[in-house]
Amino acid sequence: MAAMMLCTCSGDQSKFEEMPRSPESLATRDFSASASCSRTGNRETTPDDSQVNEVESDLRETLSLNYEEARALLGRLEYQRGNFDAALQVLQGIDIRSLKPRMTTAITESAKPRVSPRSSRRKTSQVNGMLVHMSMHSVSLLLEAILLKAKSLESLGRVTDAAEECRTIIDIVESAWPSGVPEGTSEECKLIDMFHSALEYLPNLWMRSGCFEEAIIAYRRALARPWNLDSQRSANLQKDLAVTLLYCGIEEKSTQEFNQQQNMEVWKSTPYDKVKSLHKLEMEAWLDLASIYTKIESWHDSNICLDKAESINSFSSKCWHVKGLILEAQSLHQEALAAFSFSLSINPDYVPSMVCMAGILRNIGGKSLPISRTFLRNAIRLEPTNHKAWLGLGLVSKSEGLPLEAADCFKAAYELRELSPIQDFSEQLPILLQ
Amino acid sequence: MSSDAPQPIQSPKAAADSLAAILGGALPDSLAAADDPAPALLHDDGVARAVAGRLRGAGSGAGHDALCGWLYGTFQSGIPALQLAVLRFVPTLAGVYMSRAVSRKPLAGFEAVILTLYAHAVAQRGAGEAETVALPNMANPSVYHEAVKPAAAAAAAAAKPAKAADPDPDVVAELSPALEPHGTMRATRRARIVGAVLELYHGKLALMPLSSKMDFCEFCVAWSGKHGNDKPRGASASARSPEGGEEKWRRVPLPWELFQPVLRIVGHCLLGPANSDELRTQAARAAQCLYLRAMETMDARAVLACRSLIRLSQMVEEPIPEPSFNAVEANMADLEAMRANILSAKN
Repeated sequence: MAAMMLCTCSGDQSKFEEMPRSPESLATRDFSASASCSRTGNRETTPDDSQVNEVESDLRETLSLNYEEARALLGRLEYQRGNFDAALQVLQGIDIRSLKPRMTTAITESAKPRVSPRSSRRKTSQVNGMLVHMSMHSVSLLLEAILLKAKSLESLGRVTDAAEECRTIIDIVESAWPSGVPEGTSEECKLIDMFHSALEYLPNLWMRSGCFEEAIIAYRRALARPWNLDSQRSANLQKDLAVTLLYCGIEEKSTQEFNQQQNMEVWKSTPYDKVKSLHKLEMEAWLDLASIYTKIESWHDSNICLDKAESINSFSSKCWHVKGLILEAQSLHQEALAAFSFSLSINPDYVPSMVCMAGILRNIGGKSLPISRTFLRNAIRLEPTNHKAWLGLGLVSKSEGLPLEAADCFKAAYELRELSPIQDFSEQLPILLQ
Repeated sequence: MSSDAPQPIQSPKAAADSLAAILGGALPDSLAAADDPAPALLHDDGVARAVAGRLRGAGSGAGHDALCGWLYGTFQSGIPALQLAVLRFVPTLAGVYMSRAVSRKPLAGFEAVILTLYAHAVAQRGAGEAETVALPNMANPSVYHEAVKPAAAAAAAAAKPAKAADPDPDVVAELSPALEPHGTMRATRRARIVGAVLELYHGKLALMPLSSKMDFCEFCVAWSGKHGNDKPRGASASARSPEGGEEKWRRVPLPWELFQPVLRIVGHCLLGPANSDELRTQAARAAQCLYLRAMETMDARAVLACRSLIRLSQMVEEPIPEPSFNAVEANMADLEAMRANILSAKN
């Protein structure tokens, strides 16, 4: 019975028939997921293993999450009683780090229209008995746990630790809603209330621990996105940010340094995947420029552009590929071969490098011809409409004394080239659309 | 300076020893024993009271004033920590000087110190250039907002060939006009020179001790001449000195060149991170008095600046809301058992 109260979220009674009913079960159970499994040992029937594993993993997830919820509730009780030490001890047992991704996902999904209207009333979202997402109730409870942990730490004088905890809340919500609170999200959402509290609380904590630079970052995070803060709170944050910038001894910074820091903070406050996209776009631009310089035989300039691209990400097939093109254009064929090999070692399916490798090997001729052919056939397998690959294959066939095959390949190459677009934006399109 | 001009001071130790000789008493341990007495010179309240007391005393500030000589020599040492220790006394120095300047008393000692501070201010600005600030143009987007260009401009931009839009230029405002080098004090330049020294003080305000800021706010009240109008605090500004019956610090002329740096410092005291209620109270009083003074002259800049400052300081910070606790939904016995288990395990 006791276990039922906390575990009603699953809605599926059968899972809990295997649970021991004693009140100690929650208290004495080990806090690891695997141990909870061990108590579900004796079963009447033995369905096939995959079904058992499914049920077990569902159970494990459901139980272990409810376990965290129980700790969260207990932590809240201790906090309300003013036992901050005890509250901290209880709340520290929640492994927020491992739950963070699921919490973020749940928040993201909550903004989307629900599949079935009934599911919103359940504590856990379930489809076909499988755990789909953490419920918003669970997310709120866990966020509250982090907030109370921060408040407990504050009460114990550990202001910097409190700030680190508080920052976690903002990290979670910001990852889920990188562009601010989505339109149409319910205003009464307890989660948003807690998030607003955290937004104000964090810079306050940093100020009190004397970390003014961190405070400024926190103020900016609170102000840089539409979080639906009411205007009074927003005004207070703006005033506090201005005051901190003016009066906290950071004023000696020159404008340039200040702007640089602002730019840095744009990168910090931009979510990671967006940063990656922007990096990729920049790298593409440098590589394109390098290719242009190569075509007009400006080696020095093309190498500068390549260096820029490499500084963003040196572990990139395309970077090595462009390097190979530059070397090949300078007739440094052995070096070019090495560069294309590097490219393929990073990504074995990088077709442009396959085609270029094949080209060099064909020029070497003799025993290298079959290797060249192999590269080209692989390229065609991956990209059947790649006209350069077909052209290459035609040239190899011709070198091998197979004119008929060569003719077919040339014909295919010609037709495909007629059909192919002047400029292929397929790689850049997703980035451009953001 | 007279023939008993002080030896040039070349180290914090020398400064401390020299000061001890002038004050004629034993220095506190923090000064006497330390290898580097500069921080103590800056922060020690006992030393500060002794020095300020002398500066406020009758007959201070004349050409042969040894204490002024010490301030001069210590600042001239070029040692930044010692320069901070001198800056600490700017409120008292400027306060007493401005109050007495209208009289015919000899004040060459004060003037020497003020002029050397002024020269430093000029040098700091790269030969006295104006202090400017770029006000970002709100038509350009920032981290905090999207810019919404007016419809007409957007249509015109669309008609042009596609080109990256030049950002609208920022407005450059002059925060403080250029400083000219001055070797002597004149009545016509006094406000500008003292104002520049106050700006220098403001630049280091984050490092100044609390008592220095308190001194400043106290002098602001006196300078405004309005301390009779606000709630009586039992006595005038001079009540803070140990001897009763001290001279009253007079109302002084407050042109914008002086008013603006004064208000900037009061702003810092009022809104800054000092975490001192006493300072905030004093600063609020100073702001109020300055506001009443500005209303007299109806100088629009001064009135607006004071009003804004007072309104900002009155923005009540609502407390950060506690998360609302709904009724606990779980079985209490269960939770109590869990609690006992966790706390006894002490994991």
